[in-house]
Amino acid sequence: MHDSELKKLLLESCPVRPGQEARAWKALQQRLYSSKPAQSWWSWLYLPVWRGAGIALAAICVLIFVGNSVVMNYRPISFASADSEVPGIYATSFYSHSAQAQVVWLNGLAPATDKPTYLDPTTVIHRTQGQTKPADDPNRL
Amino acid sequence: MKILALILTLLVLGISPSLAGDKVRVGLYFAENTPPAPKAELAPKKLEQRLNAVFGFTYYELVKAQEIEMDNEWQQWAVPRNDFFIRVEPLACQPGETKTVYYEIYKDGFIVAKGKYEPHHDTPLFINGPDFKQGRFIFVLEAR
Repeated sequence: MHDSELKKLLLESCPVRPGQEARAWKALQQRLYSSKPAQSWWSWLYLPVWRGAGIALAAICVLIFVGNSVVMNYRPISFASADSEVPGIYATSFYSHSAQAQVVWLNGLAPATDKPTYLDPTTVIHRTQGQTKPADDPNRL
Repeated sequence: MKILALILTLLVLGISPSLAGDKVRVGLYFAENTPPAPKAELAPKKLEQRLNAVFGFTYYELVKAQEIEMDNEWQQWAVPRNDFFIRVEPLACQPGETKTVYYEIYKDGFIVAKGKYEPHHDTPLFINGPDFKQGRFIFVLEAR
């Protein structure tokens, strides 16, 4: 059976009434374009809307803040160096993460004493009346 | 908008503590495990915890402290003791550059070590000094 014969047979058995096709097309158009499509709450993730842009900007700011905080806490923001000037004394500088402080460690220093130590006589400052000196430690000023 | 304003405020607060101050406080502390005299001035709680994390002593008594002006680019001395003192000299820098101080440690009148330090808020410099009796002297440089 040819197509033309089939079309003729269909028209005879199921005749299309006048205007039926136009009404059907109009109803279909209304359903297609007038009704809002159902969107999920997460549609801002993949649809270009202002809400998604705002949330993305906020997320970027939070990431910058967190990254800044992590870097600031981990990386020493200060710098310290130390060099020994005397043989037998070793100077080491490092950053202490537990104390969050720069540390200069001097090894080989002779202990301090409470006995008179070397001091150029010309630089000795004589105490005026009223100034008291700790009795137990003459080197304390 | 409120969220953005809050985030921007937090960002500013997060960055601002890294800016250096105009003064450096140089303090000599005596670290010991035996309780000091009742009138002794002890280190603030936060500084005490930090010192304890490095040196391990229980008490940190302030011997003497003085402030160094960072704008005065000449040598300044902090002499809390005859036999242990420090010379500090703020180095010249261009506007916007980080300020640096040059320091020299003196023991018994002779220089024993020298170095440089960039003072920053909340990042002090601890200089391990000589032992004394049952304790130890420690220089602390802090930005103010």
